[in-house]
Amino acid sequence: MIRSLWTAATGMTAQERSIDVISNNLANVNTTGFKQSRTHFQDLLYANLRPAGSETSETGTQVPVGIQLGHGVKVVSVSKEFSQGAGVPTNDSPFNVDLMISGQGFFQIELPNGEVAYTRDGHFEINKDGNIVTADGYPLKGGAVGVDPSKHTGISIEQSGSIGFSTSTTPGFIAGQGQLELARFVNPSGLTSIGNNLLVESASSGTPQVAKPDSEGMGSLKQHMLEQSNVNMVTEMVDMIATQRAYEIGTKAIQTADNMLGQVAQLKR
Amino acid sequence: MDSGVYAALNGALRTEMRLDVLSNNLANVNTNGFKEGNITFESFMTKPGIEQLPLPGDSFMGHKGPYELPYPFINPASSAYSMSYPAAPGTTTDTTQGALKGTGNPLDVAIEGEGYFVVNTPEGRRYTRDGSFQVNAAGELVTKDGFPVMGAGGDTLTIGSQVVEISPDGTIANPSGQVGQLLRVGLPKEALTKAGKNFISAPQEKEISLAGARGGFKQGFLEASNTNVVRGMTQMIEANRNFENYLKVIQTLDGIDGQANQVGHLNG
Repeated sequence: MIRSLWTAATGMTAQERSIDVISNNLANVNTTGFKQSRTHFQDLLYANLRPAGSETSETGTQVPVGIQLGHGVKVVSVSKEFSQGAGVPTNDSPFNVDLMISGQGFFQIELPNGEVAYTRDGHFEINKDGNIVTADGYPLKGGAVGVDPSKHTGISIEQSGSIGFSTSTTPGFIAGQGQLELARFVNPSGLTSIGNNLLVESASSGTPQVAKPDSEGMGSLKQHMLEQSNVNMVTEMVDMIATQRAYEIGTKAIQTADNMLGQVAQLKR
Repeated sequence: MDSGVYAALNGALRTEMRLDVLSNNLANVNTNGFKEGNITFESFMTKPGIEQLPLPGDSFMGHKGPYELPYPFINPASSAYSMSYPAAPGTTTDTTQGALKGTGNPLDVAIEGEGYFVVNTPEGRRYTRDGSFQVNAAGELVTKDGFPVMGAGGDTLTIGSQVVEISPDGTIANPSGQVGQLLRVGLPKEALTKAGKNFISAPQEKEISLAGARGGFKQGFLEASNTNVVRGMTQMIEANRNFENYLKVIQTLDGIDGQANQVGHLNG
C-alpha cells in the first residue's frame, strides 16, 4: 500500500516536470531561434518478489512468470530538438543585418568573459563602431567590420557568410570586408542553455567544428530573415492535455491507496 | 481463530499487490516504450478437512501421503471442507503495440511490429522499445542514459553530426553513404524481465532473429506507453472495492467470534 502511494507520487512529480517544460516551450513560441525541449521518462527499478525461472520442484520445473512490482517513473532527460524553425522576412533596409541559418550550425557570440557562446538567434544590430552585435550588444565573431554610414550605403551578407559594403560612388560594391563562420556540434542537444537565447559547449556536446556557411554540412545564411521558434503549438497543447490527465490519474491512484489504508484503520472496532 | 480470516487477509494482501502494479502502469502512462504489467491470481492452497485423509501419493505442504490406504477410507470430496487462498503466481507484461506519436526528430525511432532495440550496458545486453536516441560527443548513437545502441553486427553505431536517414529495415545513411544498421531482435514473452530505465533484461540465448519478419523501424516517431487508462482506472476501483469486501469479511468473522465468547458467560 505504501509502495503504491509512492509509485503514484513519482508519476505526479514527473508530470509536473513535464508541464514545466511545456510551459517554457509555449512561453517562447515567439522567441527568435528558440528550440523546443521535450521531457523523456523512464520506469524505475522493479522489485522482483518472485524471479521468473526459479525452480519450483526437485524435478526442475520453473516459475514461468515471476512477480515484478514497479516503483513508478522518473524524468531521464529534457532534450532540445534542433529542427529548423520557419523563416520570416524582416525588412529590406540596407543596414538590416538580421540573419537566418538554413540548415545546421550556430552563430558564434563572444561573451564579455572571453568565452564563446552559440545561438540560432540571428537578430543582430550594428553598434556605434559599425560592428555586428546581438541585441544585448555582444559581438558576433567575424562581425567586426566597421561599416560607416557616412561612407557606405548598405551592408550585405552572402549565403556563404562573406560580408560586403555597397557605396553610392564607384565601384558601388566592395566585397570581402569580412567572413562569418558557423559552428557545428556532434550532439547539439548536449549544449547547455545559459538564457538570452545563448548556448555554451559542454562535455557531452563535443567540441565545435567551425567552417564557412554553405560548406562542410553547414547551413547557408539568409540576410533580412529571422528563424522563428520551432515550437509546434498543436503538439505542445496535446502534450499538455496528456500531461494534465496523467497527473490527475496519479491523484486518483493516491486517493485509492489512501482509501484502502483508511479502511484498514477502521478495521479494529 | 477461523482460518476464513486468513483467507480474507490473503485476499486483501493480494489486492494491495494488484494496486501496486496498477499504480506503476498509471505512473508510466507517458513513458515511451513502456509496456503495462498485469498480475494474475490463482487459488493456491486447499486446506484439507478434518476428516480428509491424504490419498497415496498426495502431498500437502511438502509432506507426502502414506502409500497404503488408511481404513476406513473416506472420500475427501464428500466430507472435507476446503479453503482456497488466493495467490499471485506472477506478473505478466502486455507486449501489445503502443500508439506511434510523430516527433519529427531524426533520432527518434519507433518499432512497428515485434522486436526490441538492443542496448549495450555494463551489465550486458538490454532490450528496449524506447527509441528516443541521442548522439554523444563521440558521434555514437546512444540512449538517453548514454548507453550505446547496437548495430546489426553487434557493433556500436557511429553516425557523426550529419543528418541521418533511417529506413524501415534499420539502415542508417547520411549524405556520404551508409553508416550502419540498427539491430532488432525478438524475445519470447516468458523471458521478459523488466529492469527499469525502460529496459528489459532477458538471457541472450533467448533472442529470436527477426530477419524477414514483418514491421520495421519508423524514423521520427516514438512509441507511446501501451497503458490502457480506462482499464487501469476500472481495475483500480475494482481493487478498492475488493479490498473493502475482504475487510468486511474479516470484521464479520471477528463479530462471530466475539458472539461465541458471549455464550456461556456467567453472571454473578
